Amino acid sequence: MSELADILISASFWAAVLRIAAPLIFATMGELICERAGVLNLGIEGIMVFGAFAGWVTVYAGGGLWAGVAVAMLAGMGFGAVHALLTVPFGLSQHVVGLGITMLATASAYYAYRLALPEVTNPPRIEPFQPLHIPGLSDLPWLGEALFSQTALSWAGFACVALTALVLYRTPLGLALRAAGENPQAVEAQGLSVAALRMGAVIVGSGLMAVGGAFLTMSAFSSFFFEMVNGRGWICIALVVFGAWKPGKALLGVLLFAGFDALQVRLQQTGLGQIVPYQVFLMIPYLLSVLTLILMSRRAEVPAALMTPFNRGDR
Amino acid sequence: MLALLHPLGVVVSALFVAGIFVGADSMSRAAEVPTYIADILLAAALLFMVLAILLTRFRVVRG
Repeated sequence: MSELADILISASFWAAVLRIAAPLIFATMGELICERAGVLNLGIEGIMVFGAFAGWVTVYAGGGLWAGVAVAMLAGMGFGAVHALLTVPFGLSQHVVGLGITMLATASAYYAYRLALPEVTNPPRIEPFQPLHIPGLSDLPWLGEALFSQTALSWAGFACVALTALVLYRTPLGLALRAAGENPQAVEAQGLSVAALRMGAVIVGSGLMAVGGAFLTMSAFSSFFFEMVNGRGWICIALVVFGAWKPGKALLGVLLFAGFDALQVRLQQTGLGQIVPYQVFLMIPYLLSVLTLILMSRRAEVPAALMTPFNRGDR
Repeated sequence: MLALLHPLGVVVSALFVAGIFVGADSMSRAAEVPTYIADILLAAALLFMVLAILLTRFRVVRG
């Protein structure tokens, strides 16, 4: 128990929480935008893998770091456009299309990686984002290392949450987008195009998911390897539900999950880690997330038109 | 999905998928194409299958 307290007091633990949370934040915001507009985007896992690869390969080929982020975002938007095309105008099953996009994006990323680097066993490393040094705050004794040693892309993630909340709740576009997910007939009655809103939301959301994936290669680890995303995309879908489709609460859910994840890594090195197999520790974040989902999001309100294809002229 | 939820179709589509994967392995030996081409083909097949199911719902009406 004292080992647990030791872990919680160490500054590196809190820095790890923020570092683990950052890709999940981008992906969760992306999924939140998609679901608020009424489209379930199950392509999140694959788009994160492809974003990771696209960002990494751009930097590996000599581009700058932010150019890598931009390329990853464009690649994600491409897959989002395919998903949107199949889901919104054609009205196909969103589950099947999403899973197909995941498979396609993952396979494309691995295929392109093997094409680019045929006989590599050690994944080559790139120069990742460096921690951003804020003049006054980064030098504080404990807070400096805990909270203010994150990279620029992490700060972009937190800004993304604020921006999403701002656009969703304070702009007419956000209102229309939320209405497209709750009551598309009302949007249609106003003369706005539900299809355009939903497709735009899916494309933008997929771009964000890809940036989340790019964070993994360009900020957390500095190389791309297989099984890199490892299920992080799927947990973001649960985190969106945990956040009751609100950006602020979703951020809380992401931080909670990242906290459990950082905790389990450190717990493996304590005395308990000698007795319990490490696979049990790997389960802990997911089990605790399901538990908190049960306890805290019972009364979450689903966007009413989620997963319902909209045909113009329906009554 | 590829079998349109029919039990015998599942057997045939399983053979098809197996053929793709085995073919990808031998293609990687013969032509140095990465084996992930099989996964790409499979995902594309799934997406096109779902699209095709939609298109079969349209019927040409005479008159």
